[in-house]
Amino acid sequence: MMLHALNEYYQRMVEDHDSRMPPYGTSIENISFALVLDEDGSVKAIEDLRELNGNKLHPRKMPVPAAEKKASGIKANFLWDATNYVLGFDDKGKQERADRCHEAFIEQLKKYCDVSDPGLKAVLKFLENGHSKDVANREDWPDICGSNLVFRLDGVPGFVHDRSAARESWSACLADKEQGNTSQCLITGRKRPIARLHPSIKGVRGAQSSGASIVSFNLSAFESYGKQQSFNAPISQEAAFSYTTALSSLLALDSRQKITIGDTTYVFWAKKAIEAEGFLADLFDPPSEDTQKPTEQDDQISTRNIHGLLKAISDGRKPSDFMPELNEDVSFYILGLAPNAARLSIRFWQETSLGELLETVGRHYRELNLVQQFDSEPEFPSLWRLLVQTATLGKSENISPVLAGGLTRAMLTGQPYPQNLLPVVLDRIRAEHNVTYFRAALLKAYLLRNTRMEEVPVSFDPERTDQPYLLGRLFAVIEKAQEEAVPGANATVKDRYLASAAATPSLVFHLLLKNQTNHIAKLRKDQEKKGRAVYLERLTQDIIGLFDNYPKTQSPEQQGLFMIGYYHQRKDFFTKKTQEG
Amino acid sequence: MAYGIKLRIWGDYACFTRPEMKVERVSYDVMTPSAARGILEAIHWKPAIRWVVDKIHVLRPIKFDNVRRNEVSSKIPKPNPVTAMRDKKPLYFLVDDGSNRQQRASTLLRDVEYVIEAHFELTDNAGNEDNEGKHLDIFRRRAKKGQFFHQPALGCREFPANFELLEDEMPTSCYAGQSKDLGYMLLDIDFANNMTPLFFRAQMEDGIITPPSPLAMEVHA
Repeated sequence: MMLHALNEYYQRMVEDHDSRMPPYGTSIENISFALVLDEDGSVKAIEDLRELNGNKLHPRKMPVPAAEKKASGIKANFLWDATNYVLGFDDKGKQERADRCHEAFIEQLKKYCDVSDPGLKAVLKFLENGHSKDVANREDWPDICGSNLVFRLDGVPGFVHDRSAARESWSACLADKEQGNTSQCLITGRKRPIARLHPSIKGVRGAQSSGASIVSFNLSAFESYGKQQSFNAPISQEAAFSYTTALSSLLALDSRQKITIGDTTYVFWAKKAIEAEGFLADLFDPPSEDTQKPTEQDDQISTRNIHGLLKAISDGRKPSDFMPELNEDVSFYILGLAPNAARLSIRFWQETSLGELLETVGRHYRELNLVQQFDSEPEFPSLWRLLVQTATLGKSENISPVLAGGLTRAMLTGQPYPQNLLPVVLDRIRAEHNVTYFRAALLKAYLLRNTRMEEVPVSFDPERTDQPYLLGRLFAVIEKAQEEAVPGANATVKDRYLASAAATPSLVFHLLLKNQTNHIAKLRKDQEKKGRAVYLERLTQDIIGLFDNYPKTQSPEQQGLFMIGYYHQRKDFFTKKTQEG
Repeated sequence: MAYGIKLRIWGDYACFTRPEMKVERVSYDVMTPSAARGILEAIHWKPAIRWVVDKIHVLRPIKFDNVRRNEVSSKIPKPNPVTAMRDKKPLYFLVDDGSNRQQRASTLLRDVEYVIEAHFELTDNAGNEDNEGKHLDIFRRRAKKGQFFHQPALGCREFPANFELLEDEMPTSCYAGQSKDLGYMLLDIDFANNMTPLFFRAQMEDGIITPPSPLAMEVHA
């Protein structure tokens, strides 16, 4: 399934020459410097390959002979490596180990390199004649030390490892490495040499920076039938390379096909090349229309497109109505990875068609749809914005990973929202005395999808007669009366009673209404505010008239509706009445 | 299909672990043929017979769920049972030690229901007293009464399987009328041949998977 789909994605991308997907036997690595050698092996110059990004120098990403999987052992890469291998000096002060690394590097080259090629000959001469000390004595050595180096022959374009003789040597070396266990590959089904270890996958947030593995057997309890390491799951070396390379390119720093929600990194791709691969990230995290800086024309158009698409799908229209060129039948894959003890665990995997996916995402936004408190708030809140509202102090690191995973799953699959969403949101409201737009939207979505509630209004609904909704409205009216009578009070009824009014109305409302009578009486004495007093009193009477008594307690679902009623009534106070009169 | 049987199996959880993701466990979409064989063998098996799974019917929709479990990180070292046997000492495995624990995530199946269609063949171990009718009757009787040698499980021991001998009509699958490619799936393990795993390309047609015989050429292709 997943590895299979990744393997297919790799095959597709390799055929597309613009994609710069590295061919089998190479990998994209971070390289900082090139040693420019003369034909006799002496160092002519050291070329800085790093690129300026912002105000920091970053190593260049370039294809080189595939990297060895390094742990604590000594394994040299072919014609490139860190300074301890290439020069025999490291930045950790472990000279004895550096010497052994250097020896391994030389030995490997000696074994496979054809000395008739001037490039390879120069490298061997450089290594044999001990020119590496020249480099260590240079002024810029502190910069170079510890970084990855490649070789270049002076006066010849390209790098030594790209020369055809070097490629031949590398494929001979690779063939030797591949030897061993042949078995049926569980990705391709063919009988091939099996990989003992799989290349590491970098770019998953929270995982080790040197990379982690999906397929790994790092403890004896994981092994079966007396098999060692990845022979427990026979995957051919070629397939192992393909799926890890494809995944790495999806996880690359500048990838448009990944997004991080909570502790999970999501990547997505389509079976065929389609436009939607590029903008799916925007569905998770819609760019805000208002804060859009007037940058590039392209950007603005795509933002408008995504909003149009979101609008269309959240209105329940077919996405192809908006984008006729959209192919809805294409298979779409979504993979969520999270680190767990040097391994990657599959948090989420879904195979769906683009049309289905857009429909479930549209449903999610439709259920969230709620009148905004302020105009600056996004019409289509991203998952991150929603999740932050459930976290202590509004900090990303306090987001519960279980909730984040559950919410993402609900958004992408149309399954119910996580059960703990409701209590978590109510808890935050209780703690912060604040019903924000995002929280109210989450409550609404939860009530619509997880409970039998058929309808929760998008905006203020004066006709609605559910008691929790009415109680919420009543609370907002009481708060409003206090606000106008005692402007700037230190602790308002909202700060003190919002949570208890929602949970135990019969205990709290009598007290609140008694206070409100005082507030309205105070307003009535003020000539200017007399009209307000009449209005608020009438509104209170109207709401109270719609129910008989105050319930002792309200269930979490009822409390959710209470908060929505409160939010709507409060929003209504601050909306200009244009149609009045 | 003279000696064929049909067994309906269902349970709340199932995890037919994919070999490539057996550390952070991820289940196959449906029951594997070797898991089906394991369930049949739990009910009745003798050296004289060999079960062959003909068809697996998937009745309920494929649904995934995530759990995390605390598991151990090491096995009992091989010499321990050997010395325990030799010296007649009790064999124990201490897992109180925190460093011997691993928290592992599992992506497993929820609410599964399958029907296994299978038959058995007599092996070289069959003696004069063995015949097909006898073993078929034994299996039928045991399955009807709910007897088993050990609790049949849905992939992992933690997920027990409920079972029932199916004698009525085949229930309809929720995947009727659809076809789905499930990718390469474990068929079985070739125990005679250095325990080599065998894979087959699983295709689900109308909710039915038809695994090839382990001896078929396509498996090794």
